[in-house]
Amino acid sequence: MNDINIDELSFQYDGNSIINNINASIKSQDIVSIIGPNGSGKTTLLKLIAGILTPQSGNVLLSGSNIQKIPAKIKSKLITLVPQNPEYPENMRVFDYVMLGRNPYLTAFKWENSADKKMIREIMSDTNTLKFIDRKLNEVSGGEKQRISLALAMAQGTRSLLLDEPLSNLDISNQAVIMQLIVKNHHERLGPTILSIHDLTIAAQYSDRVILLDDGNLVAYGTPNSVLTQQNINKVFNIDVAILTNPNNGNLIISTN
Amino acid sequence: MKYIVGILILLLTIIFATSIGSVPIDFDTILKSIVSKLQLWNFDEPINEITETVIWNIRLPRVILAAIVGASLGLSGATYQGVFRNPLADPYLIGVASGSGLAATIIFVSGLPLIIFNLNLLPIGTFIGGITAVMCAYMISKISQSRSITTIILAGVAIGAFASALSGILILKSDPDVRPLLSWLMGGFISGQWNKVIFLSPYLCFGSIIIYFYARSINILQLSDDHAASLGVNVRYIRFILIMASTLITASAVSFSGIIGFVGLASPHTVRLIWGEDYRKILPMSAIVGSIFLVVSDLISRIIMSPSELPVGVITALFGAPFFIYLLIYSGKKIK
Amino acid sequence: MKQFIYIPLIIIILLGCSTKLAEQAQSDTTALPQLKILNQPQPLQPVQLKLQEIPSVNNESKANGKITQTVYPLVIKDRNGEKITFDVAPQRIIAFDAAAVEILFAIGQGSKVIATHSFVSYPLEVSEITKVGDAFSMDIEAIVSLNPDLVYIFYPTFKEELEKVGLKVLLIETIDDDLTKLSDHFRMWGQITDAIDKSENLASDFENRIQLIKQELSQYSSEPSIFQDVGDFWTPGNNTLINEVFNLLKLDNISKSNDGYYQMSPEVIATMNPQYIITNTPDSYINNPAFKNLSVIKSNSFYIPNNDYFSIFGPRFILGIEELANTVYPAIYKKPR
Repeated sequence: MNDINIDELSFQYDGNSIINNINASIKSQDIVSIIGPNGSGKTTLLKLIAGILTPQSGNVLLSGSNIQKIPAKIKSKLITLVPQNPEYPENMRVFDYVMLGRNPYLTAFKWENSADKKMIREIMSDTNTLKFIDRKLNEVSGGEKQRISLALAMAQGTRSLLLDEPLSNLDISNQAVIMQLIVKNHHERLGPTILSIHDLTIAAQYSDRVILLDDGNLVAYGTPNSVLTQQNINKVFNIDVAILTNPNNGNLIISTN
Repeated sequence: MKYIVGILILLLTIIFATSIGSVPIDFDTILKSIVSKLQLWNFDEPINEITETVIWNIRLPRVILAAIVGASLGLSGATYQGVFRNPLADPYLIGVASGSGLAATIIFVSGLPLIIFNLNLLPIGTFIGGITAVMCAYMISKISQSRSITTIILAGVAIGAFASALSGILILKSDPDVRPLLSWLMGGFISGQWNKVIFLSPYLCFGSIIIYFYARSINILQLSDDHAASLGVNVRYIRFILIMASTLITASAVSFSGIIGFVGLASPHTVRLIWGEDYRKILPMSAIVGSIFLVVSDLISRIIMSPSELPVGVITALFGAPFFIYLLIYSGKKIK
Repeated sequence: MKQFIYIPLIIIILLGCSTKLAEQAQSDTTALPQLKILNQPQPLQPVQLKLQEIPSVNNESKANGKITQTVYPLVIKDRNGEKITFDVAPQRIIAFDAAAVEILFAIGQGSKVIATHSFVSYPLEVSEITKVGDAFSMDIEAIVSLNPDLVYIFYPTFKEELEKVGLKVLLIETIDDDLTKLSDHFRMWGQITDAIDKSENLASDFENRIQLIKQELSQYSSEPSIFQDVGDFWTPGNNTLINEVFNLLKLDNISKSNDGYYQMSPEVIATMNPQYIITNTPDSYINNPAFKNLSVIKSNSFYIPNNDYFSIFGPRFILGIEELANTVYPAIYKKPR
């Protein structure tokens, strides 16, 4: 299967320990949220899982293979990370931007063909970005850009998808739209979806599992109900919260007191 | 396709530039000369030998040399702009000009004969100087272990400043006829000959093949390094290859033509303003535009104060800048 | 990484290939005869000359009854019009100029020169003299510590600084337009250093030798064409001292259409086909297919100038003029048996 196994993973930078001996087993069908205070290591953990950073000890196994050993071109068909604040080259056409996602399948002699172009159009239609297809990136808004970068990741067609804070800078309606797209796309892929997120309620609503980080340490890993407890949240975020249940759909609502 | 149009315009410009010069030659004489050289027709009256020499041994080689250098500068400027994600990048960004300039200064000041063992010392020396400066900048950024591309830019700027300072000292300390050195530094094709064209062409061919091989990857390099890595691009390796290839092209061009500014900066920008951000288009069009630009600039430098010749670098800036400004204003209005 | 080795390897192979190709292109130019320097070109008109001896330097001093001793205080105007007063003949001169040094030695005042710049090398005695800077920079401290009573410079950059430290500065900018000013310049030094006899000899000698040339050339009406390449096609055009020399020698400078020094288009050189080319690097013409039709190559009439003669506007300048005159008009200096 396309499970991701994190084995005694540790990472230091400049003498500081950023990630400290993390163990977790992520199932291929799961949507996993990584939550934690600012600076707890969420981005670093995602980069380690994506194989962009090399750990000092421990490893990340993708379907049983050490991700550090997988060649770049192959890796880019298996897993990808949408960064927190992607670069949007001002004068690039939206269509061309999303098409960049097809890179793993192209070579110097094989450029994008009509099948690729059709696929991009479909993805853009799914993400409701088709109307920007000929616009330049500096002609679309922040929320639209975030949908576009999701489209780019979808065009890459990887088995696993990692996203670093895909919802920051979005209004409440756009947040819902993006989350729904992520969920829908998740079901079309073979591997897990892992995203870091600030909003605990959204994490609770959409995730199968939650990873709670504090200062590089894994505090809890499990279902939203088991991880998002008043005690855990108080311990990690130093704040008092009330945990309620949405009567309409049974989702957890976490609110500060 | 625009490439065909571009190449046609380039060819026409070359023919046009060959037909104009300090010595007036009728256009039909030029045509006659081309036709008889290609042995398409034998004329009863042979063309004056001196006129033939002017056309085939003086004008044409220098015009073609200008075209090659223009293509080299346009292409490497576009590549640098892509690799460094910086629209202000030009081919001399990380030290090629200063390194070549220092080498040229050393050669002129040392009083060494310019031709040793039948080898032309100046092109070899300036080529080595240019490459060395860039390699130093690259080494510095490697040693610093910084992952940011700004480091190599800053290292290049520092090396460049250092090399220029050394040149300055050497010039001050040497015997005062610096005219040949200065005119080399300002750039020109006055000694354009066929052997230079032959010597330079392989570098441009080889370099441009390598660069174009990675053209698609340059598009992806416009994203952040991590993002590009996620998409399967080996950022450090490709960046190294592209910088080396562009530096090769630039250093070889500079070693024959001196330091000509503005072409490497403005050509890619002009192309981008008209044709957008895809490097698969920007790269070849920058080469063509750079070519045309430099052939025309060389033409102007030859006739504006005839029979005196002005340094080409002066002309590229003088005439290129207003045209470029016009383009900026025009494209700004178009967006609105 | 292995790929880092491939790139330098490919560069070396490329360099090798292109050198080969370039060599082949080079060898396509027709093999040309060996260059002979200062070869006698065809005389323009065979003429019977009146033979005159070149006047010798020693005996004309008191002939014209002019003043032969300097009257101090002496006021000299420099190029800016400023007046410099000399109460006595200066005994410790720093002459920051090769021509001035040569003049001073030529008028017997060489011992008064206590320092100069490092690019002065004539006459041989100069190697013993202190150097206080190179062409473009002056070591002010060293200059001051030598306690000169006159500092001569030919460009204004350091004038203020020198005057500020209390030195007497004479600034006369390089003569670059009029040949006759050169002999007056000799006379000036004679006045300043109370060596009027010798300077008058030097000046008169110069003027006489110029006069001889003018006389001998008065019978020539045609003007051979000439081109001087001082490097990279830089050439002296109109309003340069060299052009004045060409005018004196009735030589038609093909560069005269523009003023000052400039780079000449190779097309024009090839087309105008000058009868004489003055250059330090005849090879660059011989090996260049652009110039294969030049008659100078076929007749071997390149003239390699003595660089000092033509660039130092001092006592040896006349030698340069005469050497060039001898090349073009060898009949002037033939002596009878």
